[in-house]
Order: sequence, then structure tokens, then C-alpha cells
Amino acid sequence: MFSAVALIIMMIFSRPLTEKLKEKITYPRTGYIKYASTPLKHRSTYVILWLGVAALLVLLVLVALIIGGESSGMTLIWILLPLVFSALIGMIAYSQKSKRYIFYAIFSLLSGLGSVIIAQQFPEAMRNTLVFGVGIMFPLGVVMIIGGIWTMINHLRQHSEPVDEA
Amino acid sequence: MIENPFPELDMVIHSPARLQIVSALVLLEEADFVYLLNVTKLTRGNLSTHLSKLEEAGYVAVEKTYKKNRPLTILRLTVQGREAYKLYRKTLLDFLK
Repeated sequence: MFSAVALIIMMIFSRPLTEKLKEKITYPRTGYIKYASTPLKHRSTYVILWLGVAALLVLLVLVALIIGGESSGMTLIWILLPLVFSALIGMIAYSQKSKRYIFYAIFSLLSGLGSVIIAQQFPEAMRNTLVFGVGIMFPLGVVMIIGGIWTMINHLRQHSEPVDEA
Repeated sequence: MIENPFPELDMVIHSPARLQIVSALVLLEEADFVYLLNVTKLTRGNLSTHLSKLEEAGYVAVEKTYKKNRPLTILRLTVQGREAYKLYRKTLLDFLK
């Protein structure tokens, strides 16, 4: 319940908060830019691609549930979760050309798969929370916050104080 | 009479500094003065002069405002500017082929 509320609050406030930080820190130092919006054709290609991947994953889980029963379906979900997460972060790393996100992708894959193995030692009722919450989201969140702070400190070191423009 | 083999390039864009400015703006919807200063590494005065020339030619739209008592200059490539850049690029590429 708490994590759901936290997630909703984060979704509502993350964009205006990021924009405020950019206005205060980034724009005065490195300048302001607004990218031209992605053409609709490209956007729809991405949406179709993601819907295709999501449909494939759902199909995989359904097949595992039908053929292997509930336990093998759940096992597949646990193995797929870290793979999907790291693939998503990997996509961000590729599109942003960011080494930091490549590290996040590898980290989430290792912590996720590690938690799948460790979770087998615990009762089945606890495994979802262990894999999704403790194994993937929490360590990834901590590493991303530390990585973000580190990047911000480096950015402030590399770029001088704001100066008035001509 | 010998035909001139060299293409007629748009001299407003052809200058290295202005080509840098236009090339930076063509990828964006808008940018501010500080961004162009960082990207082009020109001096403030030099950048202002080149921007004025681009504005005179109708290639760049300049919007001067204030944000929290700080002057803010927003720059956009106009439709005419984008067309001129496309034509410049095509002319140069055709010549270099």
C-alpha cells in the first residue's frame, strides 16, 4: 500500500520537480533547449514495438501456466521480471547513450536474478515481494539515487556558476 | 564561355560560425543564448553579431524576455531558415559527390 502511494506521488511530482531543478541548476549553466517533438510515425512504431513485446511476454507466461501449472508460471514471471527490467533500462541507456544506465541495466539484471535464486529458499507467499520489491526495485532505486547525486555533483563541478547573458 | 563549376552557396549560412549555429538549431525546436554559447564556443559579442545576421536574413527568430530578473534570449530557426539550410546542404552534397 505504502509503495503504491509512493509510486503515485512520484509519478505526479517527478516531472514538475525535474523541470524546477533544470530551471534552477541546468539551464543557467549549460543553456536551455527544447527538442523538436518526435514525428508521429516514429512514435507509433515505438508503441507497436512495446505492445508486441508485452503481448509476447504475457503469452509466454500463459503458456507456462497452462503447460506447467501455477508454480512454473510464477517461476517464469520471476525470471522474466529482471530480464524485462534490465531490457527497459538498457533501452534507455541505448537511446540516451548513457554509460550510467548501462550500469543500472546490468545491476538490475544481477540483483534481480540473484534475488530469484535466493527467493527459492523462502516460502512461496514471500517470493513475489522478495523478487520484485527487495530484489529489483529497492537496490535499483538506491543505486539510481546515488548515481543521480554523483552525476549532479560532477555536473556542478564541471560547469561554472550562472552568468548573465549578453 | 566556360560554365562556373562551383555551386552558388548561401553565404549567410556558409560562414563557419553561422553554419554551427544553424546546424545546432535545426535539430531543436528552440534554444537559448547560453546553450549556443556553450555549443559554438564563440564569444558573446561574436555570437550576437552572427545571430543578428541570421535574424536579418529571416533565418532565425529571436525572442528576448526576462526570467526571474535575468535576461533570456530564446532562438528558433524559422521555416525560411530550415528551407535555406536544407537547400545549402543539398547544394553542397551534390557538388561534393
